[in-house]
This record gives sequence, structure tokens and C-alpha cells, in this order.
Amino acid sequence: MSIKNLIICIAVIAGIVTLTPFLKFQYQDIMIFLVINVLVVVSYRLVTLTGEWSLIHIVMMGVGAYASAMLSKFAGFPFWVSMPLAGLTAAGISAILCFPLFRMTQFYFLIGSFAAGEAIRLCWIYFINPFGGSSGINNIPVPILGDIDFYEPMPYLYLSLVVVTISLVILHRIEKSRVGLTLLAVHWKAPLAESVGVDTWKYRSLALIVGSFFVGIAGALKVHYLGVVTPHQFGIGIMVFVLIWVIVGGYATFIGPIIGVVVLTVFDQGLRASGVVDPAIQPAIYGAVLIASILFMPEGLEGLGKRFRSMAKSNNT
Amino acid sequence: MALLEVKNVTKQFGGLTALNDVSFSVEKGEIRGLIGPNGAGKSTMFKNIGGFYKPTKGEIIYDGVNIAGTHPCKVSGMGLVRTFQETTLFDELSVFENALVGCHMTAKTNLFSAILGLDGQQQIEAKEKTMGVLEFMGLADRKDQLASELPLGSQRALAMAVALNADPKVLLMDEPFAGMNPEETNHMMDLTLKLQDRGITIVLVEHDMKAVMGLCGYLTVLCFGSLLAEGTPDEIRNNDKVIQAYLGGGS
Repeated sequence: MSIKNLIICIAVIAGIVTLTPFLKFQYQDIMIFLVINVLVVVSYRLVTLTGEWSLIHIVMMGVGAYASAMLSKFAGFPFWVSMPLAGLTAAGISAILCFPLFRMTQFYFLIGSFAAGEAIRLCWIYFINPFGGSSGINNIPVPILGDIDFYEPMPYLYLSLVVVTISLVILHRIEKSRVGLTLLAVHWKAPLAESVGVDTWKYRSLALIVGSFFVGIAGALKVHYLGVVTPHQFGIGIMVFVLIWVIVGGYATFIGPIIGVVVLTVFDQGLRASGVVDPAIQPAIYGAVLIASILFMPEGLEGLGKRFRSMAKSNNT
Repeated sequence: MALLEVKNVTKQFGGLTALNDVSFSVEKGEIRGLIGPNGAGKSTMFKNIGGFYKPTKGEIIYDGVNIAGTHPCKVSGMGLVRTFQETTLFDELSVFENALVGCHMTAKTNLFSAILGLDGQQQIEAKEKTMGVLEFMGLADRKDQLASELPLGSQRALAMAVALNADPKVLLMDEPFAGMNPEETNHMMDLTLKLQDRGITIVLVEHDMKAVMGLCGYLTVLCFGSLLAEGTPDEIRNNDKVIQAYLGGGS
């Protein structure tokens, strides 16, 4: 990472830390979910690096959420143990799913991943013991560290920031390594990658498993703050939001999906606070934003920035 | 012993017999041409050797092991690397990154060492190796360009660089001269001979007769899925059966 990018990252984190305490309580909540959603979209991008768009990502977040909730509530594990185990559970389940799912590619994979995700979600609803059915599991213990109480938003925001930042650093390192290059190679020309010895099945699986691990962690973070986990938090509707964030932000670069989730969350909250639009029709506005962004910014918001930079450059010379 | 031996290979697609009991063997260090009229089964044979198809019957012995039906990514790990008909590259990646993907098997990396940065020395070696291959192919000064921006001749050279970085013992080349102008063909022929100097055995499927006759020491001719003739370029040129097959003489 260049020095410039490092400084920007530190500035952003410092900005969040110093400004959030002055926000209204309700916005502090939203800030926490935003930080967690950043991890959701960035881990999703790792899955898409191999060119396979899955619809199971948000369900994997749920797998992590349920795992951490059950481990801490029923088995008495502290959050600091149940959170990494949540990631491992999501990774393990996705590893099993790789066997049927990666026999398919493209559209078939998309539908297959959706079906597998719904099957998992229906298990949560159907098996009331131990998953609690439609109402899920409540009274999930709050993380405790010494005498810090993570029930308050600000400590929880710091906790989320630390976990998400470490995760992003790891995801970034993977992407910039030769493993990341191989994932891209599998995406662009799978036969050529195979011709030099790349096991494309293995690398597609690797991307899904690692992506699931990190989204499982994000799931644990989310439900330990909410204190409740239900199957409806991880439905296809939420997955569509993830897709919109990633596509509107631009999935070609690491930073794109982050820009997408931040801009659209701010946009969403702004719309809500202004009271101009009935909240009931907000999804329609989201849809319009998606269509407009695909039509006018095929590379997403991130691509828009690049276009402005190159325009400025050609004006200068 | 021959390095690559095709033994009685038959390949059927439903009722269609694309290859019928074909046998030939390739010695270490040679450039072997695999020629024949359209539909002779050259590409099918090629895909059988490269692991993309599994022969219906017969064996493909490489380095003493039967590799018939082995997955392409395993075959290439054993040193049997193919290049593609037409230009097949990672268009969206740079020249350097294209070639770097090639050393996937020869300079291994894994997720955890990539995260923790434990594979630094290996990465340096992989990069040096890749630069060496690009210099060998005359592409070093274009290393930061996108693969899709290269002229056709350089793209073919880059495709060879990707394959070469996988340390092949046998290089299977599928029509490397197709669509090239005479100058590019000459350059490509030079490169192919340089590969032979490095001790790489080459099997060539090609339509360009000038290139085939100029490069190959020995030719295998297929026709309608069967072995028609084998011999040196001179013998093949004067072989009545071959002439008939190409010119379509009545029988």
C-alpha cells in the first residue's frame, strides 16, 4: 500500500472515531452497521474476483451470526472466542457447499447459490430447537472485556473498527498477492489458467471460503450488538442491497464497494431524514439508482472518480 | 524411450469416430509437426494429449506414465503444457502479470504465507524468473502494457511466455502461426527454435506448410481420424497418399 493510501485510511478511521460521539444516538447505531457492512461488501468482492457472483453471501453472514449467538448463549463461550469460531463455521459450511455449487458456473451458479442459501435459511425457521424459528434467538450476550461494557454504541464502534480494519488489511493482502492474481486469472480465462496448472475449482472454492469466513465474522459483530438474530435479517432482499452497493460503488477495485456502501447509506439516511420521500417507496429509489448507475457509470462511482482524474490530467497537459 | 507416446488412441463422439486407432511417438528434444487436412482430427488428438478429452480407447504415455484422461491442470503440472488456437491471454492483465500467472506451479504460493508475507523470497524468485522469460521472448520493455494492447505477433509471443514460465518439458502448440504475416511467422519460427535449444520438446499442430516444413524434423499426418503417413518433411512432400489427401484426388 502506498504512503498516500495509508494516510487516507488513518484519516478516515480518525474521522469516524472523533466525529461519531457528536452524532445522535440513532446515527451512532447506523455508523456501526455501516462499518460492519463495509466488511460485508469487501469480503463479497473477494468472492466475485473469480467471476462467480453468488447469492449466498448474506446467508453466510447469518451462519456466522447464528454460530456466534448460539456458542455464546448456549455454550457460554466469550465473544472473543465465538466470533472467530463464527467465521470458521461459515467457512466450513461454504467449503461443503463448494462441492455441489462449483459444478456449476455463471447463471446456474447464481441460482444454485440462491437455492442453497434459502435451504439454510429455511432450516433456521423450521428447526425451532435450536434455532428459535422465525423469532430467532434473543438476549445474545454483549461482549465484555475487563470492565469495558460494549453495550454502549461508542465502545462497540471501536470494537467493530478494529475487527473490520484487521479484516480489510488481510483481504487487501490476499488480493494484491499472487493468490489474488490467480483468482483474477481464473476469472478472465479459466482454460488458460488451467493450462499452466491452476486448479480452477480449488481457487473458486478458496475465494468462496475466505469470503464466507470474513462475512461470518461480520455477522457475529452485527448480532452481538443487536442482541437478537432472526432468519429475516439474512433474506434475499438484504443480498440485493449488497449487490447494489457493490455494483454502484464499482467492483473492479478494492475501494469501489466501500465507496458504494458509504455513499448509498448516507444517501439513504439523508432521504429518510429529509422526509421528502415516503419510506415505503425507498426501495424503488434504490432500484432507480442501480439502473442509472449501470447505464451512466458502468464502472461504478469509483470509475467516475477515475474518469474525472483523467479529464483533469488531459486539461492540464 | 520416447518422451510422449500415443498408443492406439480412439476417440468417439457418439457415433462419430474422430480418431481411429492412432499411434505415434515423440522423442525428447524434437519438433514434431502434426498435420492433416481440415477435419483430420488434429485438434481432437491435441485435446486428448492435453487432458481436455479422455480417449475412448488407448493410452497416452508421457514420461512413462499413462496420462489419458488426466485433468489439464494436473497434466501441465507434470510438464506437458499447451498453448491455444488463436490468441488466448488474460486481456485485462498486464504483460508481466500474464507471464507471472504462468509460474503458478513452479513457484508455489499459498494463502497464509501471502497474508503473513512469509513467501517474500519465493515472490522475488518468481518475479525474476518471469522477467527472464519476458526478456527471452523479447517482451521485457512492454511488461507494463495490457496484454490486449499488444500487436498480434507479440501476443503470440506472450502466450508462449506464459506457457514457458510453467517450465514445460513438452510444449503443445495449437496453430501458433495462424493469421500471421510472413515477418511475424519468421519471428515466431526463430522463437520456436530457441525453445528447442532450451531442451523443450515441441508438438506443433499447424496449417502453415512453410513453417511446418522449416521447423519440424519429423511429421505425423492424420486424415479422417487415422494415421496417414509419418516421415521427414521431404518424404511427406513426396508421399502420394498425402498429396492425394490434401489435393482431394479421387480414389
